[in-house]
Amino acid sequence: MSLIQIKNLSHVFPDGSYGIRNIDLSIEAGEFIVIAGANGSGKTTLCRHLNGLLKPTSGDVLLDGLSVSKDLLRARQMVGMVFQNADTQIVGETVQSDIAFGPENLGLNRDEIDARVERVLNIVGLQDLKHQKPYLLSGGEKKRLVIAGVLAMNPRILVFDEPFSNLDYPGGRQLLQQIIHLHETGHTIIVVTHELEKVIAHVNRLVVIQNGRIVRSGEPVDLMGEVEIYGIREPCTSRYGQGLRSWLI
Amino acid sequence: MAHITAFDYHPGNSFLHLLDNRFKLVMLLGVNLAVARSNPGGLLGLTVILIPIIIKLHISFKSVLKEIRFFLLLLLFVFTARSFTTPGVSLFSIGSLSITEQGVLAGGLVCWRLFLIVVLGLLFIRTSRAMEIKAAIQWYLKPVPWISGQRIALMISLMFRFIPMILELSTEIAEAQQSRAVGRRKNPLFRIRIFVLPLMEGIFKKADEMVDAMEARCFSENRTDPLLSCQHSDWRVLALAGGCCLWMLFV
Repeated sequence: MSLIQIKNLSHVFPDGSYGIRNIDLSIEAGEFIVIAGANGSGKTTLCRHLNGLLKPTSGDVLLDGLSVSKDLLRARQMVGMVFQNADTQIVGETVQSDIAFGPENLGLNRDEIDARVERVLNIVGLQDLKHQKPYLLSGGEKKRLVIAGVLAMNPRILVFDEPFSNLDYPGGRQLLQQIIHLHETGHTIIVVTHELEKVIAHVNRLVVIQNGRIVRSGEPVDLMGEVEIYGIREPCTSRYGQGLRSWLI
Repeated sequence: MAHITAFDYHPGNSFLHLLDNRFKLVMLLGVNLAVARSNPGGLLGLTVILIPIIIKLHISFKSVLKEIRFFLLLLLFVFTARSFTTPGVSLFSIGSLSITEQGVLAGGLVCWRLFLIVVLGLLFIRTSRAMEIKAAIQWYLKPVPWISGQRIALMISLMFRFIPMILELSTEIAEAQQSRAVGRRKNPLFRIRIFVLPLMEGIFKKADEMVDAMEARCFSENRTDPLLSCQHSDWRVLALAGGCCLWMLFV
């Protein structure tokens, strides 16, 4: 059984427009996929159904066989979501208290919360900044803090919505390394982006979405020649016939 | 990027840093009440106690005065108003207005009290982590019926979190408008409208995003309580502060 099964999922906004239409998609445990599409194609709407932030108009999302709508708490623990704007995800007054926010919501005991906070601080390399106020962090550090906050919930699936936006080159590289590391440590990774360049060399599968429908799904190398039809820029190395190269080289 | 001001928390190991925040809140309240009621002798005693504490905490007078410059203007206004409006022995006159000896003393006393209250607040904020203040308030609200301590604590937490974000957003909007020569528009109502509308839109949008992010992290009011612990030293300092308050009131 697939870890994530999206069955005939549609979402209609209150104004009657379709966010997504009849989406069918299965994602296996341990996969690293990119969902790509132009602005307004429905990528973010699709992702918000994975942990029940949006309710489907029709269709269903199953996580490990159980519908998201049947157990929202389970879905939100299983699917950690890293949104585009780091600033609006940070709710704590310090790095440490922000990471503890999720485990505190789960009602864990204090020792367990402290252990989780220490563990994820080490994973994202923010140990020295744990007493820092989040608004004093750099863009890259804020993004790592958001990831830490999500990791403290022990999710199996991580969804990154436009993770590289507003990051400079070193910040982007560091984030990519972090995402690759999380994949290597057993997480299922879904990256939603229109910038393939930075991440495409590391993923197992590319899913292209247009006007709320999945129009292509397959191995990245097979789809590179046609992504520009859907408003996604083909990575430079692919354009110049050098295949897909990691951004980390 | 934002910067730390004199009124932000500064890490340290002073006795004020180590005190339990529940005790600090009670002491702050008690000393402030004593300041409001005490005479110059009590205020002098408190000032003598506070000066070494300020020095020990390495607080820069210059940066504090810079931060509270508008408050100092308010104090000047209060002093001037008191000096002119309190009846008594005239020191000198300007036209039909005269500054009285009693007015100068009363104005000076009010300003001294207000200044000490600000200094006490400064000491509290510099030595207390926001999350610990929040935890102490939550602890005090726990026995109060019909008030959710958890919810109030979260609101305080979000307020601490949101204020820098709103300030950053307002600076961004103001700079964008200045770069489009908004200064040439003389109508203040027009300027307020074009500033407030995008600001409110931005705030509501960010609030919406924050709600989504909190939901995604399983937000619940039935959360793990913050950890608080008090030592014997907290009780000793509380007793000492209580004694000082009584002395200030009766000296």
